[in-house]
Amino acid sequence: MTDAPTILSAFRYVHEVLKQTALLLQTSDQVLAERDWEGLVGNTCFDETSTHIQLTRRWLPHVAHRFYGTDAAPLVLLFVSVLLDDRNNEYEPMDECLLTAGAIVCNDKEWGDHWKLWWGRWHGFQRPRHDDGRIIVSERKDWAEQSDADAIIERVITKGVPLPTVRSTDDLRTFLEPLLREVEVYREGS
Amino acid sequence: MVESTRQVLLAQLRHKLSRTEETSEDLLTSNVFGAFKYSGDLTLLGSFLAEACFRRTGSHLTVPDVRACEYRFWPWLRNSEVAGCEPDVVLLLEDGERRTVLIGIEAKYRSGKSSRATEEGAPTDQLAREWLALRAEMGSVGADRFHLVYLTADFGMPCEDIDESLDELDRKCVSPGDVPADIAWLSFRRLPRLLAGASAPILRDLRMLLQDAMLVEFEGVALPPTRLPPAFEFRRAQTVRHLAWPAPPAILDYAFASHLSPACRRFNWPPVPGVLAYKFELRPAFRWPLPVLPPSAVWSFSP
Repeated sequence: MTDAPTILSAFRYVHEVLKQTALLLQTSDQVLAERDWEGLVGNTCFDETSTHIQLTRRWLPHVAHRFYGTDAAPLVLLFVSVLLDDRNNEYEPMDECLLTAGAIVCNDKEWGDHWKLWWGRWHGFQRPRHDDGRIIVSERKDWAEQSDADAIIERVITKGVPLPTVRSTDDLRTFLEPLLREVEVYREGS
Repeated sequence: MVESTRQVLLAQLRHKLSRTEETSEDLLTSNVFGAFKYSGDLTLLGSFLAEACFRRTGSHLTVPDVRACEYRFWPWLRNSEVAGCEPDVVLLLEDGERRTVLIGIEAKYRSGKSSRATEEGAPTDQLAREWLALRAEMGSVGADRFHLVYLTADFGMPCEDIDESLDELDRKCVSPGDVPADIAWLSFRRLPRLLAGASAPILRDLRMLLQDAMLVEFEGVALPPTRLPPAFEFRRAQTVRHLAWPAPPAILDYAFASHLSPACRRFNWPPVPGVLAYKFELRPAFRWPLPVLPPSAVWSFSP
C-alpha cells in the first residue's frame, strides 16, 4: 500500500469533488432560500451527459448548477454553478474548476419557462473573464450576435472564483453577498 | 446496552438494515446520542450542543462545562397546559457547581413536524408543545434553565418550521412582559467535523456512519493527489502586507503545513528564488501556485 496515485485513487478523488460540489450547491439552496430565492429545477443539478459508448466526453458532467427565482424580483433568474470542465474549449482559458454565480435579467415581464440550463455556464463565456470574485456585467446591447432565445435577456451579471478557494458555508455566503446586493434593485418596489 | 448500541451502529454501517430502518430518525437519534452516552465524552457533547443557534436572538446555546449528563430517551412529558408529548431526547446537564440545564432534543431526519399550529385552542404544534412541556419539566427536576433544540439534517436553519411554533407560543401562551419563547436549531451535519478527533471507537464509527449517510457539511475541495512536490501553505508569523521577492529571509518567520505533513513547523527560508514576486495583501495565508512550485530539494525544514 503506497501513497502513489492510482487510477482508482483518481476516480475516488473525482467522486469526492462531486460530493463536495453537491454539498456546496445544497448549501447554496439553503443560503438563498433564507433570502426568498426558491430553487427552480427540483433536485436536478446537471445535464448534457450521455451513456453513449462513443460520447465519452459526456460521461462526466462539465457543470453542476442550481437556478433560483423569486416573486419579489420576477425579472431576475439567479444561478449558482460549478464549472467542472471546459469540455468543448468554449471559454476563455480556464486553469481551475470555478464556483460561479450570476443573475440573468429579463427585458420582459418575467422569465416563465423561457430560460436555458446552459446559462448556468455563462461566466465561462464572459470576455474578459475575471475569476477573482469581481462582478462582471454584460449588456445585451453590446453583444455582436444574438439568438432568438437570447433576445429576451437584458443584462447578465456574473462572478467566479477558483473552486478550491471556497472552503466553508461562510465563504459561500461571502461570495454570494455582492451579487445579491447587485440584484436588489430589481426587487419590485425598490 | 453499550454493546447493543454498537451492534446496531455497525449493522447500519455494513448496510444490514432495511432502507426504511436506515432512514429512521429514531435510529439516527439513537446512534448519535447513544454514542455520546456510552463514550462518556461530555466535552464533545457540550461542543455539539454549543453549535445550536437560537432563531430569535441568533446567539448560540450557552453550554456549561459539563461534568455530568443524565440521558432520557423518548421520555413522556406531561403538562397541564397541553397534551403530553415525547421529545426524542431530554438531557439534564450539570456543571462543576451543580447548576443544571435541561435540554430537550426534537430530531428530524427526512420528515417534518408531527403536528402543526392551529388558530385557536391549546397549542398543537409539536415544537410548541414540547417547549411548554420542558418549561414545566424544568420545575419538576429543579433545573436552572431549559432549552428546546430542533435537530435536523438541514444545511441552514428551517426558519418556517420554527417561526410557526414560536408564533403559536406567542399567540397562546406568552403573556405581555414575559420573555419571548425561543427555540434553537442544530444540524446533524455539524457533528462529523467535531468527531474528527474523537478517540472512542463508538464515536469513530458514528463519524463513518454520518459520512456514509452524507450527513456532512461542505468542507471545500482539496487539490488532487499528486506526485509533484507538496503544496505548502505559508502562514505569516509577522505582520507583512506586501512581500516583493526576494526579501531578506532572515527577518521573516513563517510557519508551514502541507497536505503531506499537516503538522505545522517552523521554516527556514533556503536559497531565495529571484524571479517570483508575491503579494500577501491582507490574507493570513497564501498557497504556493503549483505550476511554479520549486523542486522540493531546495527546501530545508527545521522542526
